Amino acid sequence: MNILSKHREGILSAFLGLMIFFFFFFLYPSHVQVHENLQLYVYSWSMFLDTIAMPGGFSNYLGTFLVQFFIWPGLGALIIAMLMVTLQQMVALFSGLRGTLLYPISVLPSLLLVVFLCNENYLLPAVVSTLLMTLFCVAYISIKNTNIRNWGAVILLPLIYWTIGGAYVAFAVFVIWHEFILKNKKAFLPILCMILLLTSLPVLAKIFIPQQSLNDLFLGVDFFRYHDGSVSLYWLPLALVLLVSFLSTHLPDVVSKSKANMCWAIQVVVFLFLGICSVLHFANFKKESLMEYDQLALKQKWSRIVEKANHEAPTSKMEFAFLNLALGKQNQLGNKLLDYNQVGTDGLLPTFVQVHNILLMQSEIYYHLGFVNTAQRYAFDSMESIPNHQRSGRLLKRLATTNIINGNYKVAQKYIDLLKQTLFYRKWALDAETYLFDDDRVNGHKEWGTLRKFKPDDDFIFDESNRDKMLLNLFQHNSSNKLAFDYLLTYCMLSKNLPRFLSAFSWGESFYGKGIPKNYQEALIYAWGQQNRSQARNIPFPIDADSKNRMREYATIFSKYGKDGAESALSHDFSDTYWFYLQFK
Amino acid sequence: MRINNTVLMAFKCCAIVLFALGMAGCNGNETASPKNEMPSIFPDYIDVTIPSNIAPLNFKMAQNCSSMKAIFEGENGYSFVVSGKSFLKIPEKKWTKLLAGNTDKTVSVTVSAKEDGKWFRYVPFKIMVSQYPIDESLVYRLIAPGYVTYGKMGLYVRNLTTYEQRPIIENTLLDNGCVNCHSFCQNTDDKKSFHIRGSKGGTVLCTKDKTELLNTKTDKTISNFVYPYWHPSGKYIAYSVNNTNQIFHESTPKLVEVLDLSSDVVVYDVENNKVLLPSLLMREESFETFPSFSPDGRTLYFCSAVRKDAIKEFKKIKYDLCSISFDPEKGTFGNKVDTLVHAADNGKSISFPRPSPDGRYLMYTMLDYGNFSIWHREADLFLMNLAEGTTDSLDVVNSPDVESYHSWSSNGRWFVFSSRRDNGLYTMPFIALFDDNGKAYKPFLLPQKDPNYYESLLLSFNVPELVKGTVNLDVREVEHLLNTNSIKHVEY
Repeated sequence: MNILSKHREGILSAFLGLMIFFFFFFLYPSHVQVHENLQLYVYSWSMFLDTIAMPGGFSNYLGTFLVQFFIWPGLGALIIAMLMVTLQQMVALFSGLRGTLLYPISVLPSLLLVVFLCNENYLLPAVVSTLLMTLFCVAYISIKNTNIRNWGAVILLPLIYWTIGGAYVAFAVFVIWHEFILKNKKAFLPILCMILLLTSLPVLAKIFIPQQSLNDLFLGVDFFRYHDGSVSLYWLPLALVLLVSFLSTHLPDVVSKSKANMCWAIQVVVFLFLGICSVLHFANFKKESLMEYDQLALKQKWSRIVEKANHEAPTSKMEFAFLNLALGKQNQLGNKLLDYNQVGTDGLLPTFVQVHNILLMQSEIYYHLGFVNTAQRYAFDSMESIPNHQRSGRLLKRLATTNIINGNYKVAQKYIDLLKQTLFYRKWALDAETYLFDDDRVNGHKEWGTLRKFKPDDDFIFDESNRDKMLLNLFQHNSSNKLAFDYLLTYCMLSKNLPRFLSAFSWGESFYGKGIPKNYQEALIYAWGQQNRSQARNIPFPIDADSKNRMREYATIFSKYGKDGAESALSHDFSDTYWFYLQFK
Repeated sequence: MRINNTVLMAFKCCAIVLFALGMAGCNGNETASPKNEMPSIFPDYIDVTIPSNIAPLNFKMAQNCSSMKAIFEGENGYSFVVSGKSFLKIPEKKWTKLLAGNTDKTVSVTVSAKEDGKWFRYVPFKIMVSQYPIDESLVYRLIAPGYVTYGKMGLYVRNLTTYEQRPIIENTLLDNGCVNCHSFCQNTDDKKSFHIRGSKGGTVLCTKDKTELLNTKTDKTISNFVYPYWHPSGKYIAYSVNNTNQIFHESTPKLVEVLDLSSDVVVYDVENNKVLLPSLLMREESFETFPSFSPDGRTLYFCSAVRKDAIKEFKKIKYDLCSISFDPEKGTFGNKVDTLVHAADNGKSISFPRPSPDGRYLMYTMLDYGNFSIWHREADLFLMNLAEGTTDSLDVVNSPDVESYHSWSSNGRWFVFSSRRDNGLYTMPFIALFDDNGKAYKPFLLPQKDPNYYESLLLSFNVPELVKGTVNLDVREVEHLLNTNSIKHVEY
């Protein structure tokens, strides 16, 4: 117990770090990866100079630098945890909380930032900026000479503003308040100068950077991916840092030493409870699930996608789109399509949505199908619509790939040259470069060569309202594109267009021989019966006995209960059949 | 005088020795083997003609080399040597002196390069220095060559005599809206306009006295103003109004079609804030677009196509080059449309008619169909002699890839155009001489301080416009107009 009391501050920090690491690594890893997916850090002077040319630019640069490691969620979680623990330590240090009963309140700013980071659009530079602000505060109070401390803060305030953006206000407030507490009369003049600087720095910056609004120059830090993000998300953690510092001074140790442990324990429990409740409340696990599908598709881990869907049924159209792609890649689309509660054609080929992260996901699906131009378009539009004007390593890689497949080697070279300047895409870029201007090598590449073969020679126009026609065009160009054919059949089934399904099936019947997938058999029986009522028994496809028997059973129950009552009677045993989808979905 | 001559002779001898050293060896004791071919350089400045006030044409070897060196030798005598690792950075003062002393003459450039550890000396190439200067500023939009969305973009002005590029306005100031269709009256900064699209939007109209923000949509027109062209008097601006759509190809090489579902041409009376609605340019049965005034202001050129279903029959929509007379005093139009080039009859389509400042020629872009030529690899520039009615295919200017937007310099001796000849996607600005006899010369790519700039740039140069003098815009005033929603509605 004594040891626990002696090291309780260190234990609290370690516990905070572990909890944060655990959360981001085990419960929220895809959110971590998404940060990396939507930015590009290149090792170049021009990027450094361009970024630090703005107020808050150093925080932005450092944030971008750290986020490049988020490509590995473990490393990303570790970095977030380390930043949060460092912040907590700094807050405790400059607030004078070490060795006091109120030490646990030093975790509050870190907890608040973790809550904010549950939103994938809250960006790491905000954390870096807050942390740097506390470092400046620590440096400030460590200077004992009053004049040097006061005038140093005034002189360095423009630099601090340029380094941490809007957080310079919090630093200045801390300085003013700190000198007020010390009743330092000598500080009057420097504080007056500081107040003048506070108001004039963004205005001065506007003179040199007229192409940014005054608001943007004031905040500087890229704290939220969307331009219209609430500024309170940036100010609240800073305000909380100051509040903690304020409380540490104004809430004296009123508890007797004998009750100190109890007081500590209560605070820890309350903050732990608050932290967990807030994180669970603000974390969006539905989004995390979709992002996990996306990351698995990116790594082409198709069986993991199916396992995930089996463990917890997908809910959104985009999740279904990934599941169906995984089923198609595993040749299971016709067998297992209706094992899942399908949501229609948008769960197969989603419609265009002008949102960067959705376009990024949709690009994956079109790419694997062989719609190389559409995949390229979606990737390009996705990168261009990233709200904070970042490039994306992931998307540049996709653009390089599609341009290699299309034979546009000089354009691909541009993207590859950029990726060569990164840490994590460099190896891929160097390898991809060896394919440039070498058609034979590209043709021999397992993935790129195949997709190049799938590319249609005869042009057709992308038409979202006729997606089945596009799939047919794609398949007709290269009849070995079985995925496109499976998608065509599945699209017809999900859109309940059985005449088209029947006519389409004959074009690629040879893919299946005598082993027609179960859901296709069900659609064939029904479609054939509809078109050839008198010849229903003479169906010219190899339908197995099980499917025929199930059809008879289904028909018997349906006749018995009628359309209105049959759904519940059939749902238990027949919800995985196409007939059930056709009649009740 | 005799002493001076002796000193001069001594200098000349030294210079010759230095050149000889430069030609023969590149590190004093290394000998360059002669190669019986021209160097392959990027940008391709071999045998181009340049204005005497252009910034230095820095270049690099197209293939890998560890070092390179070039001797620049003016026909009139001034010479210097430049060396570099990955590219040649020509000293600006020496370059200026070289061009100033060799106006209407040629500069010989002898390039040596160290390749695989050995120095090679290439056959010298020439750069012709024209007597005609070019306008000081080039204005363009920098934008990613995207499909539906766009990221950071803006209008920029480049000083052609240096490498300085400044933003005129960027969309960081405009809630990430789009900024486009910049236009200048008679190549001057005195009267200009551009559009801002998005939540905060309008047409920004700048004259010497004031800057205004216009809402240009009226009940009588199908859209806001789109493609502009100033009347030489500055009293009018011709605009197209377009209902535009996009479709996307699934096979290469074409990726995108930008097409008009409907379009008309109108003329905006700047002084009276009134839109003139010429019935012959707003016909239901045809599309009209890309207007431009003749230098005397009495003819309005435009492109016109028979109306068709733009989505289903986009390949059949072909624009002719037409004109109609215009009376600037009364603001009235003639009662008939003349067709200058029956492109549609020949299975072709025309966009961007631009008359030369002397009114003798008309340059336009010709493509297989449609009007949005930047996505058409077959698009080329053509030149019509208006007096003789003849057409020149401008072979020396065109490439197998896209040539699209073009504009003239104020003196009519230069034109700038956008081309995708380098990589097929990212548009770059090329400049070419146009002489008194109506002959165009081999174009050169806009020089940059570092020629690698183009390779790392993920943006296209869009709508290059040459402007006399500097270009200035009070962005704070524009920002104020946008933030206070001080927008003026145009009337009809």
